[in-house]
Amino acid sequence: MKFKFILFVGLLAISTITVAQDKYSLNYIIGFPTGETSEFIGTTSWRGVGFDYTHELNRNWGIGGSISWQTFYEDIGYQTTENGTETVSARRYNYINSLPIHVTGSYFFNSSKKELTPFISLGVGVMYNKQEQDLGLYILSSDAWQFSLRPELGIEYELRYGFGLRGAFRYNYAAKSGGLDGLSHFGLALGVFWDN
Amino acid sequence: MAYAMKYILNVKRFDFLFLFSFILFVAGCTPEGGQYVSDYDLVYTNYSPDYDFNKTYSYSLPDRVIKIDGNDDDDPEYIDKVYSDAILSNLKTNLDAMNWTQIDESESPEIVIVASAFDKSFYYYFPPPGYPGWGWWYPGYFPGYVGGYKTGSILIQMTVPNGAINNEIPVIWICGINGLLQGSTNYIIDRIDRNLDQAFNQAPFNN
Repeated sequence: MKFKFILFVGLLAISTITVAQDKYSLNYIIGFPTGETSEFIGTTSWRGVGFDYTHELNRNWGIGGSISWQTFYEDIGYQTTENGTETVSARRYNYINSLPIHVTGSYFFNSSKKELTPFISLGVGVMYNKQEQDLGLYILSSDAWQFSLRPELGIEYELRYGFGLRGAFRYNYAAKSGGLDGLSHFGLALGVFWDN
Repeated sequence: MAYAMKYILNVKRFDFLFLFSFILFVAGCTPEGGQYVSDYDLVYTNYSPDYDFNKTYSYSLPDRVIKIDGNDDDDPEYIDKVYSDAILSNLKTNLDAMNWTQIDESESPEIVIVASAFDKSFYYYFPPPGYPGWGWWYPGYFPGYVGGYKTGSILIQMTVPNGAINNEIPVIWICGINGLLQGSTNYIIDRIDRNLDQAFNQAPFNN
């Protein structure tokens, strides 16, 4: 009986090790400002990069982490603004740098085409946001770590065993905190994934 | 087995290098701001809401523009005549255009214009909008002796000597122009003209 138990546990452990894989993905991300972010910067960000890690618990479920970096920028042009009796005229440049960091849970769907794997994911974590306006030689800047949620919808296309292309659409939500508005944005992440 | 271990290690190293180079690539793409020197020019004005700027006044202009160098000595220095002339000539053009009358300082003008310049920034003097600590009163006849740092700045102040209380002269309008002190003489004069014109297009003169 004892032998059978050891065998059972051993086989279970081996099978878990066999199934459990680590998946990595590297993405180029296009950022779309929304909410308070779009009020400050209206233009699409073509400057973003992200890295995702998923530990596959079984064929469908995975847990992991995600980090990305997105830079938004807009040349506002020469602006004259009044504040009471004060007036300032200068060329203005607006910047937002976002660094979302999430712990993620993912679900990978079974597909009729085995090379295609749709997935959904939810990330919980923080987002570091730095908002900056340059006017003349002066810089007005504020930053904060903000609570963040990141729902994501995507698909993987396996080119060969353990390697493929990946596309995902995600919403990086940030809650208002630290005297800074919640600076949220959408992201279209395009990249590659590989298993280990 | 040893071969497999080595292979995995190399892949990991490649992954790391790939990630690192990708981040460097994106960091290299971080967008820049201004492309030209004039993109960094800034015009700041502020005025006393208690003073009636709809009236016309007599005014005096100084002969030269004082150079503020932070040294507390009795002999004031002046900025280069070519820039001084450009500043004072522009002020006269704009003030005359408002039907103000220029008279000599000895004839007791209602408003005495004080012009000074820094080849250091006046960050401490000229706080960004909304910054607390701004005051209208300065001791002595020439307000605005402060230290500062880099870049070129011009400070124009309208003072009312008749309003002096306890040897303090009220300042009713202030204009700060700040930018990079770069480019040819003509380019700098052109920017001085453009920015002073802008100052007179701002409140309270734009009504």
